[in-house]
Amino acid sequence: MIAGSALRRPVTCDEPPRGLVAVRRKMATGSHPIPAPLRRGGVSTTADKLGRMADEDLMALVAATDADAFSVLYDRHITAAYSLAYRIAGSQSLADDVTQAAFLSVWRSAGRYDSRQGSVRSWVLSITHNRAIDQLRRATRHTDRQAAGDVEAAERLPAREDTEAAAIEAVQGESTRALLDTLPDRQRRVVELSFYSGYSHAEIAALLEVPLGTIKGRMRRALDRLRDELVAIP
Amino acid sequence: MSASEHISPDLQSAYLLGACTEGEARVAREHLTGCNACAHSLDQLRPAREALLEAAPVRSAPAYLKDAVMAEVRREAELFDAAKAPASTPAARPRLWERLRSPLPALGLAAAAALAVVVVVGVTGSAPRPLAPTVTVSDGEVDSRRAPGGNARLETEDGRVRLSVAGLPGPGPGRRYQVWLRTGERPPRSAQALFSVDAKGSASVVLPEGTGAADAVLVTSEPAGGSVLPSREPIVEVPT
Repeated sequence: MIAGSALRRPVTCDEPPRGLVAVRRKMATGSHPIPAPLRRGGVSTTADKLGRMADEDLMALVAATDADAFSVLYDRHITAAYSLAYRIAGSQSLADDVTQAAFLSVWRSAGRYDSRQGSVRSWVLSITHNRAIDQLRRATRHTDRQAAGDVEAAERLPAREDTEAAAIEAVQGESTRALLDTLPDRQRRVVELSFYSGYSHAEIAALLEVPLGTIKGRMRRALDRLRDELVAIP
Repeated sequence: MSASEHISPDLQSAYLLGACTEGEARVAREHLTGCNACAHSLDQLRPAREALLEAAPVRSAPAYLKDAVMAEVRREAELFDAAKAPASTPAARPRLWERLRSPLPALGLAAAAALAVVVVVGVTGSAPRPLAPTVTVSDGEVDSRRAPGGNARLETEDGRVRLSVAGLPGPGPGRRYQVWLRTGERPPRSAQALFSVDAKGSASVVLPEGTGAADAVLVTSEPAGGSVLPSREPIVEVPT
């Protein structure tokens, strides 16, 4: 006879964030609800158990090359990681490449994860961010510009209006707007150009024809303000 | 700045936004390993950075991405497992020719299961190659209630495994058949193969990872993008 039990498909853990409150709540709760228990059955025991485990405990299993534990972590964080990769890379095929490389990196370097440095989720998202920015810089030869110096860089960059327009156009999500709209325009631009578009402070200074110290100051005030907004949310 | 100097507040922000030069970032990393004050100061700003990581417009990842990632992860996991238990792995699974010399294995199926062997003799080269069976065919069981008259067969040739089915009903609207590998009592894992059937209920699909150490191949109807675990009763079961 055919064996096997019907199982509920694991719950998709990433709810679309709505506004700053949702962002704050996601961060505060470790960002994912524990999936609803799977129906009891012959083959569900392992998945059931893994699905109830905290990220940090799953990471210990992943470090011991447990593919099933990795699969659970993947499901919990893939939507956030893919969204971030897409936001930075700007196309599905590039987002696919970035996300695939990022998760394989998570799998292969799980032993280096240190919970004192932050949550599993922020570690996964940081790896994704780094991969996406690297990919973007390779694609647009940012590294060449950086090495060539600020003045020359400005000449080879797109016109200031175009770059700003592109960066702003790319901000389409409600949650992104909610978060970034808490910032004055000038601060928002430097955050977008650096964090989501991979420009260095010197490149942005050259691009906007503003002193480097001013750009660094705007970055500082932007992060201070975001932090204060997050703290203010109950 | 040097690694002995504190990281200025402005540079801390640029560092968190990934906007430093590589040289600045390297010096900052070195400094942070030994300076609790700077590390603490940076920690105060980290929530802002984490919010930016979460703030991208939501995009769902395509299902094939997980298939691709998990195929590689499972391949590497099996390599690690094999390396951890070098003695038990080969012994647990008798070599093909040893199995063929034994009486037919009891497949535990109500329907008569046939194990046919096609022997292909190497004819190239002057030195005779040892006789080696290179193709095995294993017939499986199909749920007679849902697919009366259906059949399923697994063909293995030089490690390449193909599953062929016939007489299956359609998987249902918005659904496809997904192939699973079951090993002992463990939850079935995806064989990284999804398929639909033609008007006769037939299909043939190569299992990209083979069957590994699995002792049965299962088929279930799943949402078109595939599932992480089987969500329905298998309609096909073929012993490997």
